[in-house]
Amino acid sequence: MRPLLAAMTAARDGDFTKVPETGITGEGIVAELTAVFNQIMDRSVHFNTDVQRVKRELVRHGRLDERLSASPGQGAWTSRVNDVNQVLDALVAPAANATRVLDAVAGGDLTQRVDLHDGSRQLRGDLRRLGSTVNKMVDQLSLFTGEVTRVAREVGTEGRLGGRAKVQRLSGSWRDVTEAVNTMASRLTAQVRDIALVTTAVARGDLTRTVTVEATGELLELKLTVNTMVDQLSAFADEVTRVAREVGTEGQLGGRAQVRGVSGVWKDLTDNVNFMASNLTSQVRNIAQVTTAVANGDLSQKIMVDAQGEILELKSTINTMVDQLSAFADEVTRVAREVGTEGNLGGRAQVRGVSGVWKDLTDNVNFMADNLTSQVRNIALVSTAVAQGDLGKKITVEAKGEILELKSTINTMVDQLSAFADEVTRVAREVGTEGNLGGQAQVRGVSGVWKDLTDNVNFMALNLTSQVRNIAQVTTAVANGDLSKKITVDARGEILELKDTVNTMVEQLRAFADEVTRVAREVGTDGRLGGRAQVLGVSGVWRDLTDNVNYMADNLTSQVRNIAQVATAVAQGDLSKKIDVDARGEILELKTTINTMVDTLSSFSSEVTRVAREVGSEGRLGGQARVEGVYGTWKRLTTNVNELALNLTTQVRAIAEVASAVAQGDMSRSITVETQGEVAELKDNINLMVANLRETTRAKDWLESNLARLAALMQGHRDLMEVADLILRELTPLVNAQYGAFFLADPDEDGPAVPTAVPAKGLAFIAGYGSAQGATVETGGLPVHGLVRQAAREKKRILVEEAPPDYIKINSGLGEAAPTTIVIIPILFEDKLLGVIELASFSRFSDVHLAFFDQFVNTIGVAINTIIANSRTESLLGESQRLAMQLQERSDELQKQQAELQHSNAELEEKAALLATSSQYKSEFLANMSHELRTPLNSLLILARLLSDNPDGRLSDQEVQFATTIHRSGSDLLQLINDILDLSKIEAGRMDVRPKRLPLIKLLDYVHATFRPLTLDRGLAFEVTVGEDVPREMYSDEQRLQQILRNLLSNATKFTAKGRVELRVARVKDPEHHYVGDSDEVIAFEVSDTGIGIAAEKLPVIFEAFQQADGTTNRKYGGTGLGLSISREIAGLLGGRIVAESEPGRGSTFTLYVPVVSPGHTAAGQTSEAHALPALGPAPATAPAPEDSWPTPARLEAWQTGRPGRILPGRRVLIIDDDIRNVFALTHVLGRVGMPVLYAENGREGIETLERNPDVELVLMDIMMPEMDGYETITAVRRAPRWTGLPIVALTAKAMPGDREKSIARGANDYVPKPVDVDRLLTVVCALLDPENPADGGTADEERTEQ
Amino acid sequence: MIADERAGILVVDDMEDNLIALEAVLGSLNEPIVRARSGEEAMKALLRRRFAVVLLDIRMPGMDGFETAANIKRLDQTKDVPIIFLTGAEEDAGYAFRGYATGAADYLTKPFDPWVLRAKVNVFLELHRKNQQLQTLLAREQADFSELSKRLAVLEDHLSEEPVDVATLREEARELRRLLSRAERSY
Repeated sequence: MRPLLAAMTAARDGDFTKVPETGITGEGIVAELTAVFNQIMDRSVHFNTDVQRVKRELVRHGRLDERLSASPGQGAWTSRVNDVNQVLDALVAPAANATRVLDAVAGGDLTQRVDLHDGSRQLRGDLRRLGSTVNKMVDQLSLFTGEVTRVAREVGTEGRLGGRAKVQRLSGSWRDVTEAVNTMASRLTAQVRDIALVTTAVARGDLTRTVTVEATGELLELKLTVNTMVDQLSAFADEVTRVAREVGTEGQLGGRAQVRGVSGVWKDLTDNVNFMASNLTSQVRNIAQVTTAVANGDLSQKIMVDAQGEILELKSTINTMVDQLSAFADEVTRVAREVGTEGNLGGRAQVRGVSGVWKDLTDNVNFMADNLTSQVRNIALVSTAVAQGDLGKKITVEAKGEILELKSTINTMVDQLSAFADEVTRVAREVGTEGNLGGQAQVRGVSGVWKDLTDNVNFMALNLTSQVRNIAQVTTAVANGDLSKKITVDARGEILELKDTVNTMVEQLRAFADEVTRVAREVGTDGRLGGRAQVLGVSGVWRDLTDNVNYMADNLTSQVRNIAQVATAVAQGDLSKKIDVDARGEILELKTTINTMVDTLSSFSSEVTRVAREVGSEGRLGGQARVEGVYGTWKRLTTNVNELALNLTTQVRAIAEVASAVAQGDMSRSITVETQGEVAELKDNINLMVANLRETTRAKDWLESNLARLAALMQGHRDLMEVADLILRELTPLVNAQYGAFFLADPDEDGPAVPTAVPAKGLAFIAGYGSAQGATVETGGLPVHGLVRQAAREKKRILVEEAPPDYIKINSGLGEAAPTTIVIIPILFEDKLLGVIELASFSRFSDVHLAFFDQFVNTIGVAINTIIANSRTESLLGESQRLAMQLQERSDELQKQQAELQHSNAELEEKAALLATSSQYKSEFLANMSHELRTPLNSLLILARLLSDNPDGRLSDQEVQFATTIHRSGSDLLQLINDILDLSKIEAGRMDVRPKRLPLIKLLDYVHATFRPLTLDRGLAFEVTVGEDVPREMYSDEQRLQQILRNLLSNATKFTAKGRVELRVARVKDPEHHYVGDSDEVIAFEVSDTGIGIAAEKLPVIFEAFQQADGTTNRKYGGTGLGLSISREIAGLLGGRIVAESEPGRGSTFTLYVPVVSPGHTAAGQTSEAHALPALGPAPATAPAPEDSWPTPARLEAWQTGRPGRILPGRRVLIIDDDIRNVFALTHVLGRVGMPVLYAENGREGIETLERNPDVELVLMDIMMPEMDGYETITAVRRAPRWTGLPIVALTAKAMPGDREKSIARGANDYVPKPVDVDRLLTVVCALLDPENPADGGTADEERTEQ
Repeated sequence: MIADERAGILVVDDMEDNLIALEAVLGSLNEPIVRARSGEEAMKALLRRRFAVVLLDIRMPGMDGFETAANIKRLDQTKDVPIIFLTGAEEDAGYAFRGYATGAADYLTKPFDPWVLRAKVNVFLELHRKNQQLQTLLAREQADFSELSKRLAVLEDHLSEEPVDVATLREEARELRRLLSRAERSY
């Protein structure tokens, strides 16, 4: 019990510990008590525990739905628990209600209210206040939210700004909040309206407005954003407007919109605009290019640019237009060429498919061509007529404009020509036909060349007239016997020749005449027969004439001599002689007459002789002649003789007396007998003759002896003074003169060749006789005057008789007196005055004296002339010797200098040759070396390329990279080698320039196509601009120009990191040839960049080979440094040059100046054409045959037909030969005759082939082969039994005597020497393959030998 | 000369390296490639077998490319083989002209693009194959034709015989019809 009590006590004290069961064991009531107690304890503990749990849940976890669990007990235990639970419910229900409402408010649901009824009854007290407060709060919130929502809906959803939340029924913070919302709304309204205003303005295109309303925070950002947007939009619009204006209005293509700082859609938009602009630009440029080309007459261009829409239509329209234009132009060109160039009139343009203005144009062209044709034909007709000399035609065709002018001009020309021709004809007729010299053509109204022509004709006529007159004068003089005249008129050409000829003729005539005169004088005057005319230097008819004269003289001489002989004989009384000389004509008559006369005379003389004998010998004067058979005169004569005999007897006796006296030297007698008539005259004459004879004999003796003596005296003298002295000393006393003076003509400077009438310098006194110089008239050194001058001028002797006493005094020691006679004698030689002799005498000069003077003067002249000539010759000789000496010295010196010069020249040439050779060796070596270097690179490049393609995918990326690098480096190396090759080619002068017509567009297209992508890749702007006046076409080497431009542009691109590269093409007027050598028309290609530039001091060296501005440049930018050097050289080859300007950091400008027409190289151009032409079509048939052509049979057909045509085709031949050319040649021939050919390179292979091909029927075996030669092979073949019958023909180049025997001994059937005569080989083959019919084989052989 | 073997490609160059390169380029075409180190070797090779195309270097010691090509073009047996000239870069401008004048089909300058060369060679290989097909077709046509004419002759013989054996005739006519239809099909 104790434990129970203890437990109960503890329970009272609030410790509800149970009684331990273990201590009570089965003892009845106690056990029951204990059990009940323990149950009570359990229920208390359960209650406590549940209350604690609920409290804990409620307080600690805030869970209002936790309730006490049902008690295990009944009754109060249960109701207590229920009560507690009810209290909890009453407390929790309003709270939960309020919580629900608050939850709904928190969840945004303002419709919920706190129910103020708890079940059936109303809440009261605190709980009701809680509920109504919550409800009121919800109401206010609802109102507020409703207002705010309305405002927000108005503003936000419906866009109705300006709405206000109503603040009625709101209070406190709600009112404040609402007011704040309203404020916010109104501010927002203002801001939004401002922004809206701005955006509306933007939307309407007004970009000037900005948002000005005050704003903060995000709205400020919005405002700024909107303003920025407006600004950007404005800038963008400006740019687009600018581009559009440039492109659209001003037509300035190529402009680009540049809007900075835009991105996104704006950037896209800008890009699109730019793309559109550039697209448009390129299309418009292309169209412009084509239309410009069309405008410039180049119809070959077409629009190639891609286009769509209307531009496409435009493009096709323009292309069609260009085509039509081209066809039209072709036709018109054809017509124009036919009409204009080929002169083929009448052609018509036929352009099909054109209409409208083109058709009109074509018709007009045709009409024009027709019109032109008829006009030109008419003009041609007239001008042909003019050309053929018919001046009567005129142009009658209707014409207008220039043709009309041409027509009237030609008509005027024809008229003028006609007038001119008439005049000229008239003058020519007057001068030429009628011989009417002096006529002048008078053509009125002409000018220019016609006037010149007329003047020329007149001048010619005048000239001709004067010349002809002069010639006529001279010839008239000649005809009149005056040979002293010469033609002096100025003349040229044939007239000059005529003049010279006539002059020569006159001179010859003169010489001839002189000679003939001399001969005639000798023969005729002097009676000296036998003289011969000797005219030197004549020829032709003159010579004949001279010969004739001589012949005549000879003839005459012989005849006259004969006649003279006969006459002499007759005269001597010998009448037996007869003239027997051959004679003709009058001489013959004379001869017969004389002979007859002699006969008659003979008979007559016999009678007379008889009479005379009777009279003379027998002294029987008075005898009468009786002459029989004579009549007439002879009879009368006989009678007369008889009378005469009578008369004569007396007279003769007297005359004989006188004559005998004369014969005896007694000339004092005279005939005194009386005579009459003629005998009286005879008597007088004989008397006179005797007297004359007496005088003449004396004078002649004197004259001749003195002449001979004086001439002898003068010989051998060389001094003029001496001779003059001698002459005076001898001459003066001889002619009984007392005073004498000798004047010598001063030697004439003009030389003796031109005889002048008066010496220029006068006469000098050199010797005197009986007088001093002072006594004579002073003439020395002065032009002579007076009689001396007169004598000199006339070249005639002047005799002054009865000189006045005070003329001159001749004095002596005893006295003085004036001479009565003065003679002045000019001394002449060949009509030239040598001097004058003056003599004075007291007595008169006799005729003998004067004759003596005349003859003696000639002798003196000859003597003096000889002396003068001698002395002149001597002085000339001395002079010439001196000159010869000087000349010799000079020439020695010159020779020495020349030798030195030659020596140094040779040295120089040797050096130059050495230099040229070494330079050429160098260049050739370089060129060869480059090739050698390049050859291995080719395979390297291909293999590297294959590797880098990596077709099997076996290589790793890195390995592919390696291969790519190898390929790239190899390519660079190849480029370098090519550059070196180019350079060496240029230096060796082997770089060819082949200029041809080159449209500039083509070049620029190339540049565009090459560099546009490159610059785009590098992000550079690239622009090509062409100046307006640049010629559309050049004549230059396209490839070389491309090379230079490529070089310059790739340099520009290479050295420019950002910015732009530009190519400007402009035309430069270069009259001073500053840029190019010899052309005024220059094109400048200016390549400028914005790259790193070149320092000024580096500029000069960049053009040198292997130079770049900086040594490190190569590392950074690559390149060989040869490009500019090559470009410069090529520019030089094209006739231009490259000029560089640069500023470091700013960029460089390289300008290539080339002439529009590349100088020279036309021949090269032709060759290039020649190259181009045949390459167009393949020409395998005309493949150029190599030098060694294959042997061909003389007549292939003979071997393809007939017996060989039956035998040969299809028979298989094996050729064993190591010379493949020979094999080809033989295969060719054998193939032609239908024999299939197998081939083996040597004997071993030949045997193998034979084994493989049992159908081989013939073997052609070369003897000289490597490895297994022909003899060996033949032996081997013959060793096999199946081949013993196989025909083998041995071929060998060694045409040695033993070859044939040796090869046949080894088993060959026949033998043909190399080089193979195909006909012979085929003959042999035929014979071997068809042995049954050897006779037929003979025919082929005969056929061959026939050829 | 064996007609039905596959036509190869003959590459001619005096440089071993170039031959290797050419073989490497053309190896993927799966056609037999025959090398020649000189013009003479090339000519020998051409006599031994048929080729679809010859790639011929121009600069070779001894017989150069032009002479070789001229020899090839003159021989009836070899003149139809297309020749492609290969030459080093920027040789004399007249080379191309001479090459084409010799009758070459093409002219390539080293270093060439392997793809281009392969494509060109392939064209000629294709051409050769087509030619072969045509020849085969022609041969068969001729064989068919001779067979047909032979049978026609037999038929006529039978027709002229007395009495006519209708069954044999029918059999022969059927055979003829079959042959004809086969020939038509092969077109």
